[in-house]
Amino acid sequence: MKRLVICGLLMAVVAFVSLYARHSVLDRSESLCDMTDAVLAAYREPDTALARLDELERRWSSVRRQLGFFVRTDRLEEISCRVARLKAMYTDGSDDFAAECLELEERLRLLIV
Amino acid sequence: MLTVLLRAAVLYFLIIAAVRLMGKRQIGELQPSELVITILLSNIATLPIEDRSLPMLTGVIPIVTLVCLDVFVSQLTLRSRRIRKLVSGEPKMIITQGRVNASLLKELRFSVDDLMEALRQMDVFDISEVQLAVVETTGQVSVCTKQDSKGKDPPLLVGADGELMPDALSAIGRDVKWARKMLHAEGCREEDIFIMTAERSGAYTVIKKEDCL
Repeated sequence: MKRLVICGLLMAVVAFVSLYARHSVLDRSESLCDMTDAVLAAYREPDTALARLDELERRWSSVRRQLGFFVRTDRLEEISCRVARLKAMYTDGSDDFAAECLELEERLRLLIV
Repeated sequence: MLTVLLRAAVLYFLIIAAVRLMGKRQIGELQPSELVITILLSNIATLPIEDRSLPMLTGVIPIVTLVCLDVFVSQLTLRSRRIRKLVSGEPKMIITQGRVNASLLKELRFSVDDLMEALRQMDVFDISEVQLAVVETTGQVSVCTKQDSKGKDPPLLVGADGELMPDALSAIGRDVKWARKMLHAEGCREEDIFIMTAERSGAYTVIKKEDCL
C-alpha cells in the first residue's frame, strides 16, 4: 500500500512537471514570436527596430536557461545563433533580414513540437 | 565531462530507487512485463548520459512513469486473477501423466530440442521418467519425475483468492460442481478459499483465508 501511495504521488509530480513544461515552453515561445513580429513590423523605423532587437536579445537570454530544462539544447543553440545574427543583419541593411526573422519565428514555434 | 558525470550519478541513484520501488526479483524470475520494463529502463537511462543536448527530464520522466505504471499493474494483477492471466500468462502443462502435449508445445513455440534442453537443465535425461512438466510464466520449466510423484500427477492449484479455476479442474478430470461439493463438505464458501489444490484421485487440500497469518 505504501508503495502504491509513493507511486501515486510520483505520478502526480510527473503529470504536474509535464503540464508545467508544456505550458512554460508554449508561453515563452509565443511571447518570443510576438517580439520577433514586433521587430519585423518595426523593420523600416531605425530607432524602434534597434530597441526591439535589444529587447528580443535580452528576453531570449533570460528565457534560454529556463527552456534548457525542457527542450534539447541543440535547438536552443540554433535559436541563440539566429537571434545574435539579427542585429548585425539589420545594421548592415541585409536583404535577408525579414526572411531571417520569419525563420526565427518558425523555429520558436517548433519548440513546442 | 562534468555534466556527463553528474547526469550519470543522478540516473544511477534514480535507477536504484526505481528498482527498489518495483521490488524486483532475480533477473531469471522476471515476468514478461517486468522484463520489458527492465530493458526499457536500461535503454532510457543511457540516453541523457550519452546525449548532452537532451534535457535530464527526458530521461527522468519516462523512468518514473514506467516504474509507477509497473507498480500499478502489479497491484492490479495481485487483486484480479483475470488481469494476472492477461499480463503474465499462466503456467502450461506440457507433460501430464507422463504424456507430452504436442499441440501445446507447438502453441508455445517450444521445439522438441527446447524441451529436452529444459529437462536436462533439471537433471532429467530420460523423458520417460517425467510425470509432469510445466512451463512457468517466467519461461522456466518445472519437472516432477515419476519417481518423486510415485507415478501420479502432483496436486494442481484449482482455486485461489476466492475463485475456482475451471481449466485446472478439467485438467484433473473434475469440474467446478465437484469442487463446490468438496468445499461444502469442508464448511467453506468459494469466496473464503485462499488456496485449493486437488489431484486426479480426488484428494484435495483447502487453505481458508481465515487460516492465513
